[in-house]
Amino acid sequence: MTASGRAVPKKKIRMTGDRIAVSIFGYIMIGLFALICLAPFYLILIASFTPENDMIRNGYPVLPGAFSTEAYALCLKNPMAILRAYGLTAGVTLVGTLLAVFLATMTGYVLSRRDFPWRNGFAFFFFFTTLFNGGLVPWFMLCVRYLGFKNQIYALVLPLMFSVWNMIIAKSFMAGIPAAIAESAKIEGANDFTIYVRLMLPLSKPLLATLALFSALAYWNDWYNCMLFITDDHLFNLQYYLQSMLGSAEAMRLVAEKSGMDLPAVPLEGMKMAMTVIATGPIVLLYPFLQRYFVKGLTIGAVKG
Amino acid sequence: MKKLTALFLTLCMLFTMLTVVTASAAGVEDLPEDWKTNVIKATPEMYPDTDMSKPYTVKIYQVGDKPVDWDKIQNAINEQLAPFNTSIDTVFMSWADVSTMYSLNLAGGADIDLIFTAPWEYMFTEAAKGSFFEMDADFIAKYMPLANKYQPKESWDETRINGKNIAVPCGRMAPEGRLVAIRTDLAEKYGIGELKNWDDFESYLLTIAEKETPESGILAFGGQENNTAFWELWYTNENWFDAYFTNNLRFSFAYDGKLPAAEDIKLAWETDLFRAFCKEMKKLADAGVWSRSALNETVNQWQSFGAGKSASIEWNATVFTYMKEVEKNEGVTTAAYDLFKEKGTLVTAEAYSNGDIAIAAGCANPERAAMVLDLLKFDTALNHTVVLGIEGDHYTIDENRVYTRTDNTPNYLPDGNSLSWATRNGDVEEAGVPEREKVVRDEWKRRMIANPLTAFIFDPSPVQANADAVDSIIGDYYGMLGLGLVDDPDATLDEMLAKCYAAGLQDIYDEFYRQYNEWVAAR
Amino acid sequence: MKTARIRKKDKVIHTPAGDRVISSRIPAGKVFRKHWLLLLMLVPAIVYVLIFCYVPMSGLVLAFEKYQYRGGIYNSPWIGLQNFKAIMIDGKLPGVTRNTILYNIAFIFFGVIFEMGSAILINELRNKYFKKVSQSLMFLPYFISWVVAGAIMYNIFNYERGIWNSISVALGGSRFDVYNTPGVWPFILVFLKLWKQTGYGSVVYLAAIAGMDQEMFEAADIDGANAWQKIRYITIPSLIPTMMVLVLMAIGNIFRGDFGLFYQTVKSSALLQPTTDIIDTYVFRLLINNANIGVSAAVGLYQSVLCFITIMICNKLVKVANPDYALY
Repeated sequence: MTASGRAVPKKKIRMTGDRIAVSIFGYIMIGLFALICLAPFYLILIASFTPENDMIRNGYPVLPGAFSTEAYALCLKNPMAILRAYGLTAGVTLVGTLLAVFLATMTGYVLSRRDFPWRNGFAFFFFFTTLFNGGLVPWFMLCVRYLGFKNQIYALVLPLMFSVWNMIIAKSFMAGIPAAIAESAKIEGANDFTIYVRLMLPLSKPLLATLALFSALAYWNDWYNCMLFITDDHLFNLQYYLQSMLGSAEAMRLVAEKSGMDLPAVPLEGMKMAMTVIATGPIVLLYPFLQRYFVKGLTIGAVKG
Repeated sequence: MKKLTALFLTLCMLFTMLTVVTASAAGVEDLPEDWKTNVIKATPEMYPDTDMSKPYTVKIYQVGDKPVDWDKIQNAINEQLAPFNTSIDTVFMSWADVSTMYSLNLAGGADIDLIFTAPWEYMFTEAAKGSFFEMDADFIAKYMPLANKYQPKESWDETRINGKNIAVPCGRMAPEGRLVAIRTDLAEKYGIGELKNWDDFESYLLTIAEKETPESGILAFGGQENNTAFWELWYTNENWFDAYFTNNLRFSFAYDGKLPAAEDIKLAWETDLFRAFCKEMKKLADAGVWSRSALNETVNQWQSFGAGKSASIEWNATVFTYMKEVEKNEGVTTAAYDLFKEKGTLVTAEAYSNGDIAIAAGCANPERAAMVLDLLKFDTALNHTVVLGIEGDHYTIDENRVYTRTDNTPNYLPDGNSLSWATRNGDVEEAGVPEREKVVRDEWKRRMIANPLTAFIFDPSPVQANADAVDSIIGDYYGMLGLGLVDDPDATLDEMLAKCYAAGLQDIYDEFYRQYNEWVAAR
Repeated sequence: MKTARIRKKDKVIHTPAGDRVISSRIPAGKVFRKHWLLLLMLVPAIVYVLIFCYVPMSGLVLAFEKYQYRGGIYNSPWIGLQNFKAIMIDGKLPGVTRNTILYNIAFIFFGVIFEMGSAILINELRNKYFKKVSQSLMFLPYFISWVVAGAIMYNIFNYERGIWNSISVALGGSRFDVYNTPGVWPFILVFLKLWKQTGYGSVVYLAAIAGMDQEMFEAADIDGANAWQKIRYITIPSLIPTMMVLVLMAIGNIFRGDFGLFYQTVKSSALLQPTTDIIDTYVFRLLINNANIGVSAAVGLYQSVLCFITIMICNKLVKVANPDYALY
């Protein structure tokens, strides 16, 4: 299916010798690499279900042995809190990703326009900010003292909203879309913004999928901004909430040591593993979902149509 | 008649005035001298100089993670603070974040009134930046009358810089001895009895490494990262105290009853004792007492012991917790030994300044903050709320101030948060301490002595760059040397010291001796 | 389509692809009137960047000050280059700088090969399920933090009980002491970086391939090109613009290292330092007890200036070759 909806007959691809060779090479290399990527995650999964003392004594098991859900029990100790954290993170990710993709593509589009004489100057203006950085203290002071970031949800959305990296990728991608399209629209009287919204965005589905993926991941994985600005535990996002679980488990251990109490069952190593699994869970499904937009020919079909 | 009325009225006024004056003076002076056995109750009249007309919330920043029942405790505290028209609000900086957030919150202008601090928690480095409010004797007398009266006089020296106090220490000094615990089931297996000194311990470790490790994989000692544990045993053996200790820069001296001369204080790593230590550690490492990859081990030696991965453990009284943990396994028995009891070496005291509260320089109302601190420290009801929790809920207590845990104690562990570490007074004691622990602690109390140099505060700022560089160099080598994972300890140690001197160690020495001699002369 | 006349005041560069007019020195007023909507579309990003990037950038003065609470950022005592002296005292700076830049060059070079290579190969595969599953699996390492990755690495490689050594001994080989062998670490660290990064990095190339003109491939088929030739002469050249942009952006960060990678796997060992210490880990250890704001600002400035000089040179070189590939 092209963008205009006309059905295109599926071409039968003859598997000639060279094609087969490339395919085999591809399957082997990619398959190997995928396995290497899976292996540590497999270890993490097994380790998250292993009792703590076993892990300390024998290291991470390669094959599942003793089974225990103590790590998960501790992480999920407070289901309400974790659901709240999930919900908050999902909301922030959704809103943030929409804003981030919009901002990056709009700015990238303007800078990709060859007829805009100041595009290089502005590109440098934006790029310069990735080179020089005043450091954490001035930024923190600005956000906390003057912008009122303490314990506000927008403190989790704003810092990641505009990424120069994303914008440059958008600019590069949109520069590759033939100028003829924009010009013909201009002749028909469309203004720049309409061209951007009605033409450029639909033609850039792979780009949008890419930027959406990167932004969503950035928001989902972010614990740093939560650490800096949020002290109210009702506003913790998922990663930071899990880290605070680990932190309070470590604190419990510390205090138990000091006071000679019985050590609570605090599977610290197991918790780190369980945290990775819990946090990764939903978002790992995002990429397969977005893969449908990485389909060839969406751009050119539109030009032809 | 008129004259009489006038006289009468004047006398009445004078009398009223006198009553009022004596009534308010009957505040602090009338309180009992012994606060450890008497109940001290503070009233707003004891703070005549503090303006309580408007309500104010004192923001307290703690380190560590929030105890489960903290909100209950905070409400109880605020109830008791109501007559003072004040309340508190707390922010917890979790252990994982504190290294970034501590100085960031202070420098970045967060709204802080009181903050926990300690020599090991940036106290002196932040004071050097001017992040703390400086209290002179006048301020303390006016706005912290209870502390002025009850705080042990020598404790103020520990946080005084240039004549002003930058933090208020806690009210307790406790013995901090060193213990080792071993697996007695394994010791019996190889015919090893009670450990009386380092040589006994060494032969235990070597036996385990030789005979037990190849068989069951249990390491003799779960060494990791560096071997501070064993180094502490060594220098305790020689009655060493610290004159200055930050991260890796450690100046120590052997204590013989009086203040040391400047030349006797040396960088711990330059001494012959440390050199001998490195060689000994190499011997143990080569024998396989700990893993060859110990530098990168993520599990610490206490967890190792508690999980049954290693056969010995060293620290202070925390060993008892881990002994209980590993004894949950079938057939495992353990015992703790004080390797210095026979020799009779001294036991250092955990200084008063090991837990302090400072007033932030940006605090909007230092007088009110000081008052709250004063109350939390010495008003008995408030102090017990902070240290122990809610009576009946988290603990029960008898008239001798011996407290017992309840089922709800895990939700607010006694002395389990940083505010409590900074305000405790040592006036309460826990019931039901196991006999083997009690014996050890009593023994320590007998040999306890306070480090005479706790009141000497070395200010490294004239040589800060050198100090940072030398600290970093030592940090690179310390782990390897302490764990004996080098081919030639002498050569490596000489290499490290050469680099230190190249980075300006001599300048640090000169500045140190200069400040020390000044301090001694001023006493 | 009318071709623009090349006027005398035009800035022109001569490239293999033809003469390119860079700018026509149009007066500002004319630009405003013609492109006011474009400028308006730029405003949100400009405001954002001004507030969140340029305003805090003034904090760079901290590099020349001794921070005191009372003075704050702008009024603390001025000490000139003293903060820089602090990082030069122990003579480690040239070594860690060299390490940082060498590792980054390796990361960029191999990164391009692996990311572009896997995108191209995935594109050639036919089986939909294999493609979907393998792409998702390749993405998994991105979610594993360096703390966890370091712990896993320790579990695999530790001398006595590590999985690697246990298997090696079981197969009759000898144990390998990774943590005491400095020479092997550059390979390990590059491998770890590729392991974590490839899935994520290949996405951009996949998107670029998806946006390619299919006509070229059909024409090549008609001409009888085989699969390897198509990859070599069509796919790769079409990916070059994307690659150049990513490489240039990476060069803009060439003096900054991935702290998590180097710290969590190596920890603190003088033995491994000559080959694994980078600027970020070195400074971290230097300031671990002191939180010296001035010194960390000085290091940041040091890295920034070096990155700036490098990217200015590289961008200029690229611009001469083909202005479309340049960043600005």
